[in-house]
Amino acid sequence: MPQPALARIGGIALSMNETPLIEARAITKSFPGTLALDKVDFQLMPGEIHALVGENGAGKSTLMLVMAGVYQPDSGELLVSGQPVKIRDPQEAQVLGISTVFQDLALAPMMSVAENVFTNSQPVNKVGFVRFHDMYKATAEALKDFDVKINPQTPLYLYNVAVQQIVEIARAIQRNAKILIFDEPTSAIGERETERLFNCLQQLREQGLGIIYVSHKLDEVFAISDRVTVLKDGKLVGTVKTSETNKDAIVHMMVGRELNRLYPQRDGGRREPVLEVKNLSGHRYSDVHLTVHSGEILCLFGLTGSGRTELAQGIFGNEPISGGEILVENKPVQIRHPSDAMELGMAYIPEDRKRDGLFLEKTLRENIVVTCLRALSGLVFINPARQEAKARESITTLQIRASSIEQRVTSLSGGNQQKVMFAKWLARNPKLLIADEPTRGIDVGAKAEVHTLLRQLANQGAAVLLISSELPEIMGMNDRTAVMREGRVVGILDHIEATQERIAAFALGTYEDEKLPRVEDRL
Amino acid sequence: MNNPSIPASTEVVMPETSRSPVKELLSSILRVREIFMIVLILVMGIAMSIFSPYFLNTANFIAIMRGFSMEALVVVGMSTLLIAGAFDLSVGSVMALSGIIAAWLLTEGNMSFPLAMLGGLGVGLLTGTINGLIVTRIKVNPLIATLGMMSVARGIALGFTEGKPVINIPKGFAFLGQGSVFGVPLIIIYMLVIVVIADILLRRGRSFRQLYYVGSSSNSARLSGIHVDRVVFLAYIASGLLTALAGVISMARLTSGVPTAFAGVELRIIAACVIGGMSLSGGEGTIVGAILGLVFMALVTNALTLFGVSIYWEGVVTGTILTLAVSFDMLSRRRLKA
Repeated sequence: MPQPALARIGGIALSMNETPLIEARAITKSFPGTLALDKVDFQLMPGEIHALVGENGAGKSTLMLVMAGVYQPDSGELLVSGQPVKIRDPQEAQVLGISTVFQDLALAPMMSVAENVFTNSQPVNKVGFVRFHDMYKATAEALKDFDVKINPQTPLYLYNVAVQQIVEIARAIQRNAKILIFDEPTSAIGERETERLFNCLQQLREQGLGIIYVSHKLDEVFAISDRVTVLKDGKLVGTVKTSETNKDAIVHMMVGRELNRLYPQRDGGRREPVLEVKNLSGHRYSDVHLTVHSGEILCLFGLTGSGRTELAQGIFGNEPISGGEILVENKPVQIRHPSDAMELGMAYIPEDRKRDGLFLEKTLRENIVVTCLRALSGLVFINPARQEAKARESITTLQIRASSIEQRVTSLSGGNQQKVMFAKWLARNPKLLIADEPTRGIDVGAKAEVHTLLRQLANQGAAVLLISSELPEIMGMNDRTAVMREGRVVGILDHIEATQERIAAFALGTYEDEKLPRVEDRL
Repeated sequence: MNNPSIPASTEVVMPETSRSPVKELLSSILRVREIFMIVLILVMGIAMSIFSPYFLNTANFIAIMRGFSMEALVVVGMSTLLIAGAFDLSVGSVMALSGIIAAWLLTEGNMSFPLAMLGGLGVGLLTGTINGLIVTRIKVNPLIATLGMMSVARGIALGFTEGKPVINIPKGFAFLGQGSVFGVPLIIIYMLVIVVIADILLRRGRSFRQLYYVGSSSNSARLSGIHVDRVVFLAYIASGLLTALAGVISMARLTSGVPTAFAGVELRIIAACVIGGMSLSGGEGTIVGAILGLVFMALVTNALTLFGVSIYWEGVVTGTILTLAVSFDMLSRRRLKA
């Protein structure tokens, strides 16, 4: 089925005699501390499925959200059907025929399928009452093409995510969408449903719609798309025809970059195992084997949704595990709550420090001493002097820039907030530090300081598990690298083996198994 | 002390330095809620002593304090919950029910004073346990869980007595609520002792500081090793016990267990806590602040009495004050964010 469409697209792309449905010209968008998009160009032709790929943080979501009207670009131009437009909010995008199917579907689960398809445009009679019968019939008509049995009267929540996705698509079409944007549409659905979705996308392409397909599953990109645009670090790397490229080339475009930042010197001495997990399974990960030794930084790479954060939360006792074993210093342990993990010498810096790590309205002192309240207190009462001393010591050693230890953490910069996270755990002298994306959203200077801290910690004999989706960071920091994909550790690489291409290939699932020894033999 | 060598960098948000001392003073009054409350209470006291000749005398002051002394115990319990990010609507009903159970044990049950007292406290222990379990185990929203308990406890109080007060409380027991030592009513002494102890514990007690962490961010608290559910559960127990104690002593003071008593008290209590600096989202406030909030509410009631306004209008004032306090809180929060 893709063949004729490809040929047709080839014609369009060559002759360029059609106006693009949507065109982005030199779109630039920055957020505090990062340049998310740097003069990015993008074109979507009618009857085209255009894949948008890149690492986490490459800018694909930002570009998508600019086109969906969620973000306003700092500079650059958007053209819809050749006309320059300003899209101030998602409603305006809809009026222009741009609809987005987000990962978290924007539906009303308790309402019927039909009411979801006709959210704002239900057919009404003269008095203003909804003509349910007409609406149900129109919905059945709209869903007829999608090769799936859906009752328009059934409450939506009774259907699975795949059907809900189709309802979302039907709604977009009902609103006369010309451009459909899909954000990782297959992340929550199975193989058969993916196939059905692809059939549906192909039909929409036949009808002349343009589809932007954001995904990091390269198999899908090659199965469905006509062209691929690759972004990296907020810049456009290139747009190529899918038929004229291959996965290796795309992976290279995604990750190939010069390593021009200095990382702290590796000491490289791995010693005794501190943490071992065997056959560990839980929500979104299964059968994980990992060992972290004292003195080493084990990097854990995985794309969003690969289960790496869930794994970390399982080890730290924040989420229940469903099977397998955790050993700390060769002894099997039971961890039912983060406090158990802390007793065993673990520390955990969560991905979302504002939500899961800090007490934003509390002071620096209170944030730092929370992990060692008992050690800094008498039997009943806290000892303010000892708390103050500890906080001051932390501020000095970690060079946290604040006006006083009684300053509220919410008024600190991202980098200093992250240092507070380190301070609160270093106060306990952890044997194992799990750091989940510790440099996300902080500026370059603070990043380097965090890297130095992690390395110092390892050099002092702690084991460090560094979860990261930034390849350059992994290249600079790893003693070994484990790669997760779809809930499993699919590769473990030594420092010298861990090239960006190899890590990305493991993470994207394009690596052939024979090239390296099996995971089990490499613990 | 050991001075950090790092100069404060420019990215740190610093208070503006070019303010006049007067403005500085005003802003610190607004920032520290206790000072704000004291100023508010003084202003109100002065105004009332100008407009009413009956306000400024010891008898009136003692009457006011007796009036709110038992509510103060409930405020202490509610404060522990609010700080931890929870709350309890069932306090009024639980006060009534615990009073009735203790009264029944004294009269019909012929029990000794301590046993009857324990029976009354048992009511608070039980309701606190149930509230706490439903909120922490089943994760029912505190509003719904305690709304249910509010109705159930009141229903038991009414059903058990068939709506009639339990009377003929022994004189000796009544002394607990009516007696005084050196001219100071006992119930004021209870209040002072409990408030002072609770304030010290919440400022300095290691276990009690966990309440603030839980209320500030339960996710972060859990990931810092705090047993969040346990802390909230214990706060419900503490609140239940303090509420029941207030109920039993109030019963002794009135020498009868009244099944319809203390209806609507929960609103007054929550209003007092919020005016005194607590936030419904948790993590903030002190016992002293909340008690000052209660003093303010009591002054308002007293003003209504002194100026001859019917007590039936009180709900209007309480509700308005609560809504205004929360609105004020929201607005100042939004300005802090911006």
